[in-house]
Amino acid sequence: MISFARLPLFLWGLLALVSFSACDMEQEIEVKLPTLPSQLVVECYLENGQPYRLALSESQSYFAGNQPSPVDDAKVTITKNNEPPVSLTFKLVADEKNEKVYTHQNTRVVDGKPGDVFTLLITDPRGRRLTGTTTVLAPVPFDSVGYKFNDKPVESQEAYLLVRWQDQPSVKNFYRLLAHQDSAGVVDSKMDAELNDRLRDGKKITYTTTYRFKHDDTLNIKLFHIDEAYYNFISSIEDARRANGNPFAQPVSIKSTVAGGFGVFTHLNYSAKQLIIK
Amino acid sequence: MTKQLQAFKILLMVLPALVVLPQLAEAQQLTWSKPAALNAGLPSSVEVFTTASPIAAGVPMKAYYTVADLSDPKLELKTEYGGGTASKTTSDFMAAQREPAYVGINGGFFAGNTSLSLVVQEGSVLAPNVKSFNRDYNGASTPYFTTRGAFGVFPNNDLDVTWVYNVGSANTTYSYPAPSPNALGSAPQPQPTADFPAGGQVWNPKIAIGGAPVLVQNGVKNITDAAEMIVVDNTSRRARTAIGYTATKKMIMLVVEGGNPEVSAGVTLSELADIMVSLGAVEALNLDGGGSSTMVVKGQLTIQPSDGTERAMPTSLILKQRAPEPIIYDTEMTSVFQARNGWTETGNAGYYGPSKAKIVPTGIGNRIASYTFKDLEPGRYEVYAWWVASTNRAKDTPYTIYREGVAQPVVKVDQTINGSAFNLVGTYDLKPNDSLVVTNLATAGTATTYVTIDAIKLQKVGGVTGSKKALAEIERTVQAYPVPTDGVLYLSYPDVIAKKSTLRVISMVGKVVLQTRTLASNSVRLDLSAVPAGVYISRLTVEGPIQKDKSSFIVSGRRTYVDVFTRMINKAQEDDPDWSPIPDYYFYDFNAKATFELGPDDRLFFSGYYGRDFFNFADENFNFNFFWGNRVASARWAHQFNPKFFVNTTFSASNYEYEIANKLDIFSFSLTSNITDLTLQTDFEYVPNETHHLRFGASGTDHSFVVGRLEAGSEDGSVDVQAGNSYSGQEFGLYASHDWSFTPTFTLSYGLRLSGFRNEKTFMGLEPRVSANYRFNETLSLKASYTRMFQYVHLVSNSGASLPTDIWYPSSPGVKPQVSDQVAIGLTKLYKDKYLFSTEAYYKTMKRQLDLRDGAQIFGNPVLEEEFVFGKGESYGQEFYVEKKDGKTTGWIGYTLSWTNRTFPDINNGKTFPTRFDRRHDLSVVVIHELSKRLSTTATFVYGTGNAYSLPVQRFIFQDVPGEDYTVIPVYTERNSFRLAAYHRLDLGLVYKLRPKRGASDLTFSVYNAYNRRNPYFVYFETLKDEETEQITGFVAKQVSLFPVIPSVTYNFKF
Repeated sequence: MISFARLPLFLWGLLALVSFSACDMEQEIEVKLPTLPSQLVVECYLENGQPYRLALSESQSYFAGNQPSPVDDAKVTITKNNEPPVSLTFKLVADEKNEKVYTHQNTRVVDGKPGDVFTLLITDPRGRRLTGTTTVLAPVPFDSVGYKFNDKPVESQEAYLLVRWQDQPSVKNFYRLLAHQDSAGVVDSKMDAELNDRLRDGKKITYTTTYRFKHDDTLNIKLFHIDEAYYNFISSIEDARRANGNPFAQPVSIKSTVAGGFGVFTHLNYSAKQLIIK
Repeated sequence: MTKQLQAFKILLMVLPALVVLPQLAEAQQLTWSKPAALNAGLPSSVEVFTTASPIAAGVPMKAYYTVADLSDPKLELKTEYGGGTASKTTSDFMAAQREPAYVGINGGFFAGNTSLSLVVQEGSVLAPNVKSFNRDYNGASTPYFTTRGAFGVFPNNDLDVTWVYNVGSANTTYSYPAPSPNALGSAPQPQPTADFPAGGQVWNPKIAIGGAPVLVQNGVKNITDAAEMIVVDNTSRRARTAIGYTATKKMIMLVVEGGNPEVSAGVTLSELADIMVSLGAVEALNLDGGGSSTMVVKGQLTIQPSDGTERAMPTSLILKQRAPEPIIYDTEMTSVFQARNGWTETGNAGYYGPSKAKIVPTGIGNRIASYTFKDLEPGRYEVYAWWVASTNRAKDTPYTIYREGVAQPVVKVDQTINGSAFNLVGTYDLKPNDSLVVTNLATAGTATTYVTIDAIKLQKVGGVTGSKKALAEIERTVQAYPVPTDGVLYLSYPDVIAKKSTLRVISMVGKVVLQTRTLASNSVRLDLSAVPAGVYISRLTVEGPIQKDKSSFIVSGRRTYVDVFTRMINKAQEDDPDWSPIPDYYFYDFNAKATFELGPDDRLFFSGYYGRDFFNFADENFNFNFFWGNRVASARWAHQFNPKFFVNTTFSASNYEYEIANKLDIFSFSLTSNITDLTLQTDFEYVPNETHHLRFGASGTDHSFVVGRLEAGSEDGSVDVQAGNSYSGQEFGLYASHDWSFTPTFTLSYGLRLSGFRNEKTFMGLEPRVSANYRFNETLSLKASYTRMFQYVHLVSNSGASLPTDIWYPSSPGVKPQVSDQVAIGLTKLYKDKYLFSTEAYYKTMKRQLDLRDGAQIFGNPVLEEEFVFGKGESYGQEFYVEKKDGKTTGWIGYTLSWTNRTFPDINNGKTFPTRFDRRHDLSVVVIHELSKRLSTTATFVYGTGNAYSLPVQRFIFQDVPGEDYTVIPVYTERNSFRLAAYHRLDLGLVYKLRPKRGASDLTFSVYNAYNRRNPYFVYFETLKDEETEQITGFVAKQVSLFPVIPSVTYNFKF
C-alpha cells in the first residue's frame, strides 16, 4: 500500500516536468479568412487654396503582404455644383511635410463657399463605383485661444491650451480641433479632438487640454467645422483603432461618408491660429 | 445590504470600532481605534489599539499598542528565549505555545543567537543585560560597565521598569534608583556591585526583559540613553518597540512602524517616550527597534517589519493563555499509585519529591506498577514521566495508557538517559479512572537491568467538553486572514472546535505540510512560503457533531497553487525572447455549513461560501488582470406541520463581482461590476395522497447592481475618468403547481407563476407551465412540456469576449423584460435494469434579447441604455443520454446537438448570427471503473464545438488629415462568423479509499487535461513591426490557452 501511495507523487513530478517544459500557452495559429473582393478606399479632403487631390487605395485581406495597394486605373472626377467635372489623374505625390501620400490630383485649386456642393465619382475597369458628396460649411471663428502654466518650476513648467468658440444655435454642429507643431520641417500633431454641440447648443464651447505644452512651443491650431457624416466616420475610425488587436473589443463597423467603398470625402473649412506658448 | 452578510462571519467583513482614549497628551493628538478583527478572540484583559495619526505635521505614522491586565489569572506573560543557540520570529515563538498565544512582541537587543539583554523566565536569569562593552576613551578602546533598563513582573503582579546590572558569575540582578553615571568621553565608572551605584537592591521578578534606554520614570519622560550608552539612532525616526505600565498596573506594549515613509517613518526615542506618556505609562523602557520591531496578534502581523519580513530573534515577549496547573502524581500517593510484588525503592539521587523511585528487574511483564487517574477532569492531557536515569536501566521500558480499560499503543522509553526531568510520553484524551501502567517487559542487558518508575505529570491541553455551551459558541467567529494571502494564511476557530479536540488541519501535497495539531490553540497559521513549489490543492476540513446526533457543521477552505509553479517557469524563461508567459491563475474559497435539529419537526441549515478567482495575462500589447468572485450566505428553516404538509423558508444573500484591471498601451482601466441579491422565499408542499402533490409559495428579491464602475487613466494624464452606474430593483413571485397522477400511467403537472419586477416602473408577467408524462410500460415513458418564463435582470455579454465581463442590467422603462417560451418532448427507456437511455428535443424562442451595439462604450457610460440594441433569439436541439447504472464499470455518455442564434436589426445588418455559445456538438463521456473495494478509476472526456467569435477579414490603411502615423483599420464582416478550435479534454482520476481508525478518508490522484490539449481561450491578431523602422511588416493570428495538464493529489477525510 505504501508503494502505491508513492506512485502518484512520482507521476506527478514526471508529468509536471514534461508538461510545463513543453508547453507554451500562446501559439501562432492559422486562420482561414474568406476571400472577399477588395473594396475601394478613398481619402479626399478638399481645402480652399489647395489643389484637388486624394488618396485612393483598396482594402486587402488581413494577412496579405504589406504592399501599398494604390489603384492606378480608376477614373476619378470631382464636380462642384453644376460645373464641369474636374478630372484627377493618377500620380503618386508625397507630401513629406505632412507625411502623406496622394495618388490622384489636378492642379486646379479648390474654392468652395458655404453651401457649395462637391460630388466625387470614382469608377474602375473592375466595375467598382464609389460616390460621395459634401457640402461646404462656414468656418467658425475662434472666440479666444489661450494657455495657462501650472505652478511647477520654470524649467519643468507645462501649460494647458484653451480654445473657445461660439456654437450656432438650433443646428446640429460638429467640430474637429487639431493642433500641430512644425518640428524639423515635419508636422507634429499635438492635439486631436472631435466635438459636438449636443449638450451645448448655441452656447460658447470651450475645449481645454491637459498640461502638456512647454515654453516656446509654437502651435498651429485649426478648428474644423465638419458635418455629421465625417464626425461619425472619425468616431468609428477611433473605435476601430482602439479595437484592433484587442481580443476583447467589440467588433466595429466603419461608417464611411462615401458609398461603394470605404473612406471619406469632405470639404474642410476651418479657422486657423498660430500661438506661441511663452 | 451587507449587514445580513456580516451575520455570517465567515465573510470576513470587519469594521474597526472607533475608540478615542481620553488621556491623550495635547501635543500628539493621536487618535487610537480598536480594530475588531485583531481584538476578536482576545480575552477581555487584553486589548489592541492602533493609530494612523501623524506623529508630526506631514509625518505619517502607524502604531499599535496592546494593553493587558496581568492580574487576570487566565493570562500569562512569558519571555521566550532560544537559549543562545537558536532564533525564531515572534510568530514562530507564538506558534510553538501549547495554549492560545494572543500577542507577541520582540524582546531586547541581541547579537546572532545571543541575547544582549536581560531575560528572566520563572524567576531564573537566562541571559543578563550586556555586562561590558568597549568604547573609545582618549583614543583607546576602553571597557565600560553600564547599568541598563529592564521591565519586570513580580509574583504579586507588581510591575517595574528600572536600571539593573547582573552582578557576579551568578548574575544576581540588582536594581538601582539611578543609572551608573557613565558617559561617552568620560572615564568609565566602576563595574556595578551590590553597593555601587548606591541604593542597589536585589531585583527578583518572575518575568523580566531587558532593553535600553529607560524612557519614562514617575510618569514623566526621562530618557537615560547617555548613561546607558545606548546608540540606536536615538534622535532619528525608525521602527521602535517599547514596554511599560500604567498607574493602574496595566502593561502597555507599543510598536511603531518605521522605514516605510509613505505609511510610517517611525519615531525618535523622545517621540516614543511621549507616546508612552500619552498612553498613561508611569514607567517605560525601549526594547530593540528597527527591523526587530514587531507585534503579532493571534498570528497576524500588525506593523510591517522594516526588513519586509519578520526577523528571527533570540527573544520575544508573549501574552498567552495561562496553562492549567499540571497534576503531579508521585509514588508516595498510595491512593493512586500501586506497585505490586517485586518493586523496590532505589536510593539513587534525582528522584522527584520526597519519595524515592521504584525499580524492578526486567522480565516477562508480570511486574506491574500503575497510576490511576482518580477524579480526573475529563479532557486532553500531555502525560509526562519522571525517572532516575542509570546505565543499568532498560532502554525500552514500556509505558501504556489505558483509556476506559483499553490499552493504547505502548510507548517505549529509554531510561538510561533524560533522567530527573519530566519527559513527554504522549498526549491522550483521558477520563477519570484511566491509568498509566509500567511493566517489566523490557530487554535485559548483559548485567541485571531494571525498569523504573517515578512521578508522572498530567498537563491539560484542551478545555472541557460541554455540549450545551457548544451550541451557543457556534455563533462565534470563524475567521481566515489575511484575505487574500501572500504566503501565510491564518484560520481561527470557535473554541468549541478546539475544546472538542476533533479538529485536524491537514494540507496535502502528497504529504502533510502542516502537522496535525491538537487544537489547544484556537487559531492555525498556514505558512505557505515554506511549502515547496508545486501543483496541488490544499484542503482544510473540519467536521464533527456539536450536539450529539442533532447538529453538525463543516468548515473548509482551499487555494490552488498552480501560479507558484507557473511563475517559476515564466521566471526561468525570462531570457527567451520567444517565450510567452503562462497566464497567472489561482483561486481560493471557503465553505461553511451548519445544521441544527431544533426538534422533531424543525431543522435549521446555515451555509456560507466565499470564493475568489484571479487571472492575469501580460503581453507586449496588453496586460490585464481579472478577479471575480462569489459570496453566498443562506439560512433555511424546514418545518413540518404534519407528515403531509411542510414548509421551507430560506433567506439568502449573495454577491457576485468582478474587476478588470486592463492596460493597453499607455491607457489603464479598472472596471468593476457587481450584483447583490437578498432573497426571502417560502415554499409549501402538500402531499395529501399518492395522486396529488401540491406546491405553492412566494419569493421576494432585492437586487442591487453596480454596473461598469470605471476608473481610467493614462500615463500622460490625458485621461482621468471615474464613472459608473448603480441600480436597484425588486423582484417577486407567487406560484402554485399541481402534480396529478390521474392514472397510474399518466401524470399531468401544471402550474402558474405570477412574477413582477419594480425599477422606476412595475412589470408583471404570467408564467404558465405544463408537462405531461405517459408511461407505456415499466421501462418506457414519454414526456412533453411547455414553459414560459420572464427574465427581469438581463445579462448583457460583450460578444467579443469569453471572460466574465458581463453586465447585469435591470429591466427599466427603456429595457423591457425578456420573455422566453420553450417546448420540449422526450423519451426515456430502461434496458435490462442496467442501461438508461433518454433523449429530449427542444425549441426555445427568446424575445427582447439585449446586446451591445457596434463599438459600444460600456466603460463608465452614464447612459448605458443607449448602447443596447434589442432583438430576438432562438435555440433548438436534441439531447441524448445513455447511462450504465450497475456493475463494476458505470458511467454515462451525453451528447447534445444544438443551435443558438440571434437576430438584431442593428447588428450584422439585421442578419441572423450565432451567439458566442452556439455549440453544435457537445459530448461528455464519464467512465468509472471499480478495480477493487478500495481502488477505483475515473475518466472524463469532454468535447465541444469552439466558441463563435468575430475577426476582421480585411484591413485598409488610413492616413487621416494630419498624416503622421498611418493606421491599420480592420474591416469586420459578419458577427461571430469564426470558430475557435474545438474544446476537448480528458481528465483521469484514481481514488484510493483509506481505512483510518475513525471516519472515512480517501486519497485522490487526478490529472486535469491529461493529454495537455491547448484549448483555445481567445485569438488575437498581432501586428509585426520592423524593429528598426517601426514599419508594419505583417500580421499573424495568435491563440492563447489557459490550462495545461495539471496533476494533483488530494486527501479527503471526514469523521
